[in-house]
Amino acid sequence: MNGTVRDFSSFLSIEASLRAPSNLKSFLPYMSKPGTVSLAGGLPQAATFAIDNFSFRYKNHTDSTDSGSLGTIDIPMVSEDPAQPALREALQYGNGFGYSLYVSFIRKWFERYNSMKYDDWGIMATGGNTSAFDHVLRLLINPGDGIFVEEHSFPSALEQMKPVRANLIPVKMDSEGMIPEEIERAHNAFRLSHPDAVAKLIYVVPTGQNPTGASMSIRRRKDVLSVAKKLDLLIAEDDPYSALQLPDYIDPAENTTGIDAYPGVVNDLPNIVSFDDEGRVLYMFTFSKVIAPGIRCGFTVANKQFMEKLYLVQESSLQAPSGLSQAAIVKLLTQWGDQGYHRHLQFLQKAYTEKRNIIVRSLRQEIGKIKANGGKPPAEFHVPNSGMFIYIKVHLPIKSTLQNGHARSVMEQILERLLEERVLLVPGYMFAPAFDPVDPLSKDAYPYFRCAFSTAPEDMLARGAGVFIRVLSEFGCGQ
Amino acid sequence: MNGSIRDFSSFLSVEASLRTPSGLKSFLPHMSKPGAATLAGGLPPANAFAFNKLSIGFQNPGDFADSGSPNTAEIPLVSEDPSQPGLREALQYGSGLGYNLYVSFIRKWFESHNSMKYDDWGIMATGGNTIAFDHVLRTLINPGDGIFVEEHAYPSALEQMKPIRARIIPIKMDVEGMIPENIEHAYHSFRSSNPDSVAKLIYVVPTGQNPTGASMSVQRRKDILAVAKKLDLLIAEDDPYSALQLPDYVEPSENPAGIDTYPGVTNDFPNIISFDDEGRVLYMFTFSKIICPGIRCGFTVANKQFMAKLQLIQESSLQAPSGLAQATIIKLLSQFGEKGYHRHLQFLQKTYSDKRNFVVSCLRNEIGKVTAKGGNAPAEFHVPNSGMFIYIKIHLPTKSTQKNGHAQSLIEQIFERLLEEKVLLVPGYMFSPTFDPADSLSKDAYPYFRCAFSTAPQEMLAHGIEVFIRVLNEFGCGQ
Repeated sequence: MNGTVRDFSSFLSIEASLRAPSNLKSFLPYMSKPGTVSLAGGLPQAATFAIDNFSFRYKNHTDSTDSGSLGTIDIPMVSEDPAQPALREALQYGNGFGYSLYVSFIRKWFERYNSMKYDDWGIMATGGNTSAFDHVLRLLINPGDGIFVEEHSFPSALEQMKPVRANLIPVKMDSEGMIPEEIERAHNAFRLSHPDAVAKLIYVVPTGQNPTGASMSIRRRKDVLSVAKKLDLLIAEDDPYSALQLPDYIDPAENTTGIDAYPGVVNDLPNIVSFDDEGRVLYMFTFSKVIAPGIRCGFTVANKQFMEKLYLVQESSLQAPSGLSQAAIVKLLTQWGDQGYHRHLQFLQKAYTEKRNIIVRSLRQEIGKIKANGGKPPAEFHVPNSGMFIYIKVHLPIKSTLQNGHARSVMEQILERLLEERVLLVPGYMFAPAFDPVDPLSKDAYPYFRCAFSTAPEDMLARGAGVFIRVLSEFGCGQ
Repeated sequence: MNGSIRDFSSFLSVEASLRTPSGLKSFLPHMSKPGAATLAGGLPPANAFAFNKLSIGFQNPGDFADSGSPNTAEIPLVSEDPSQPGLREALQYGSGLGYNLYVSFIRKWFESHNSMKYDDWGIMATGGNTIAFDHVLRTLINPGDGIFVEEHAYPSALEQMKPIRARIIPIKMDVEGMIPENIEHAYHSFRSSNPDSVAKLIYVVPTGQNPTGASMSVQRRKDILAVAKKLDLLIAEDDPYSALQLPDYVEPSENPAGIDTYPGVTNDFPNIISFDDEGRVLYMFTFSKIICPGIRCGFTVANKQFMAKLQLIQESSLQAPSGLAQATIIKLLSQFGEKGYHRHLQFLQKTYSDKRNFVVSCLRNEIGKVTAKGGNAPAEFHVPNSGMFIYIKIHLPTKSTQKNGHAQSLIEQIFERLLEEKVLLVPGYMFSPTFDPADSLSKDAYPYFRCAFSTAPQEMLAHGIEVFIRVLNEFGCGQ
């Protein structure tokens, strides 16, 4: 395996290069030497902690019928087993990498599911992928630096990139996601239009992309990495959905698939970071969809040089994710073991797949009714094989309609009508890096609606799909 | 009470002015309407959450029998009592202000301990004061903006201000803390030497200041606010220690004062924000020293205009503190009630007072040994009435000593010698905004050591102090 990676300091933002290790935190190693009298750190004694222990009821998936069986895990103040979390450490100040037991545990856990191609990498706890990406941006991006993003992008990520004044460079997508040749094309165009700017980073969600639901094949992942190498770019790999793999569509009425048929931890789509032999990829994983969003905990993997600065960003902001969350995750994953985790993923995959199948059936039925009457489909979509979203392309009528004498985009009118019917989907312009809110008619340049099937109960999914297609027809879509 | 406040938009950083409300989050109110088929937000369903119930065991050091507070609490998935937390909401995605039950609870809790002088203020959950201040800096500070800080300042705060290239303006302190007249003085110097820069913010820790232990009197707090008004500055009020109020020193004895003699919840040190009638103060409170550091949870109070921007930053970074932490805090504070919380603070105050008294008596003892022999005291200090630190001023000898023919600051030599003896204190230059690491001899310009009495067990404290004073003598301090 390749030992050392190149010098990445040229990629650092000005802000990152001004960050230096904390003097105070540099005392921490001394403080734990036996016999040391530390009058240094202002650490409250564990005896003053208001919390002494906590325990969770958790889904232990002991059988295959998803009976909702629960187990209990306990986290005491002091643990006899040093491999088990203890509140005395988990709830104490530490360093920006996170609770040491969580970091070492999650490193081994990550290595079990990913094989890294170089040695000089590190891992840190994060407060979820939004915080992780915020820190990556602060690590790397100066105002004006170029970031390549999917042409249909995660709005929260766009909202993070704008205040740091990155130049957003949208890249065309196909059914797998970002197209590598388009990255090159956009790079060349950017260098011409912004000769003084530095194109630095590709932001990508390779699995269960938000909003399109696209997942990149192995080939595509390698090609994106090749382009990054060729153009000397870094990759911020955002992974919230790789656990949510959804097998092929089956009509819900015919579906007898038991939980064991679901892939669980078996993942045919390795993360881009596992092909990376140069240290270009900063990989961000979150437990939000696997455990719960409010746990606010995940981890980031990157080359050691970046890690040495990234942990400083965290030390000067969050410090570390909540110790309750980190301790709970160690305990949960330990208690589940590989088998329990596999089972939990199967449980999630089954729940999401069944919901996806219901909404796909409803959409197809509603669209089918129109076709049966001789009409053209008002919309089309790909069935996602990962994640929680279907991106529905709407066939806007050739003529836009006026409303009250004012020119208004059809998309906006459709959205309002849907809201009146208490059906909510997210219009495509919200995912467009290039969308200019000043030009409201341009909303029609992004004729899509994102449909999330994660939350609504079954009857809502069907009603929502029905109303959606009906409203599209009312507005002349497909005609 | 004064209703509306002036327009603060001129104080916003460029970054903050580029932050706009999220399109997606604006959907949230629609999503809770009855019958709404929400296919919008990518929210995992609560029945997919891995955790079902959280039970917390409180550490019960005080005598809770008379306060009636049970020492365990449970947080179910769904709470029957809407005023009590449920994991279904606490662990779900929400608003950048935090878990709504926590926000409403903590607002009432804050108001019960502070009376605000204007109406247009807001409150949000934060992941502790480091991230709270990080967000304040990002909301207000452009590169070059001036921030007034205590001449002995909290190192982590200095480390936060440097990467964003704030101009740090040190302010002289007396035994109470920052001197208001000196702020004016420094302001005028700053304006004449940096005519194109904006002096914007005072960063202050008014109670139990780190490192000096100083606490401002009521008059001083009002005077600081008056200066801020006069010079049109904002105030970032950092409050980690106001609960740790320590009564006057008493000799440690076999019968230390009982817990009932401690102040508990008092208003002897009203927060600066409670005098603010204009919305100038951004007040940051953390539960780190009251509950535990690893909870990573607190709150920030500021005028509504700033709150709107702070909310957006949090939405684009942490999103919200851990839902486990927020739910736990609600439960803890509700279950403790006023009486239990008062008791808990009394317990903390007694713990810290006993330790402070012990360290003070050791210091006086050891220094007394020197003066009893006719020598000059090698060091002096004020007894802090809040917090967890004693700032010890050392009397460096008139002649500096050389070591191995190389000029090395005495402070550094003393520090190394202490390390050899396995005693750790933090040297004064680490708290200085103006210390230049390139000029290492200048460490002697900051002849202090900060002594934290929070962590070390009693038996080690005496040994540590004995070594400390002995080493000072060895180096000729006081001579």
